[in-house]
Amino acid sequence: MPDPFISQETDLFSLEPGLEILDQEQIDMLLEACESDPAFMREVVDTFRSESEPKLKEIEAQAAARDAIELRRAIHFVAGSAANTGLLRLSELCRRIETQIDEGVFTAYGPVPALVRFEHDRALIEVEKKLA
Amino acid sequence: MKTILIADDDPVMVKLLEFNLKRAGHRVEICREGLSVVAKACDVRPDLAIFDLMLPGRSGLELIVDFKGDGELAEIPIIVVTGQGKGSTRHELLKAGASTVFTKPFSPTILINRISELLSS
Repeated sequence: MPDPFISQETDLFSLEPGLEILDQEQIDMLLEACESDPAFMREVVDTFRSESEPKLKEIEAQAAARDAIELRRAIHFVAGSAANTGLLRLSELCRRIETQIDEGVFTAYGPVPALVRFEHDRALIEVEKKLA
Repeated sequence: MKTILIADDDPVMVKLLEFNLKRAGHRVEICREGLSVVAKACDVRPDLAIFDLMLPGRSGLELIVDFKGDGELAEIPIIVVTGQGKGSTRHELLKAGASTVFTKPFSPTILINRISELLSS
């Protein structure tokens, strides 16, 4: 039975249930660029973790305020930062939220904070496994 | 040693760029928002600038216009990094004067190679 969050992501944002959590190609590229230095990769992941946490709180606050412009700003930040870190599913979810806001069809203020948190947390768990 | 000015509010991006640029032997200057970029550029005289398109305060596109309209900054090659892969955005940036546009995520190695090309041309 699919996770209810994943079902919501599919229903609201057409996010494919099978889309990978991590972008292995991007992670390999980062490791290669860092000369396979796991210590530097850890710094990158820790930076993402510390910077994304306040953004998730902002997403929660702006969604509660139903402020699409400020919500988009926070979502955009997470999308770009997650893409750079190789967190594919989180990045893609955020991109689709951005697109809906841009197209003026976004209404999912209620579910979005929990969905972004869900993908954020499990992406970090997965990337930690890669670095272990 | 060349000086590269990075203007990006994403600390992950800044960390990746800084690590790779310093390893390539460059000096790196950083702005985390757009309003201070021109003043910083006038101060440090970069050989190349890298702008995030969605920079708070002043966008990458506005910064290109600022640089191209300033006699002392106009010749500095500019690379823009963006999360938007849309062809119209890329076209607009190149038309405004960007030397290259990279869509996130991208390979730091490819970026460093492009920087080397721009610095040697």
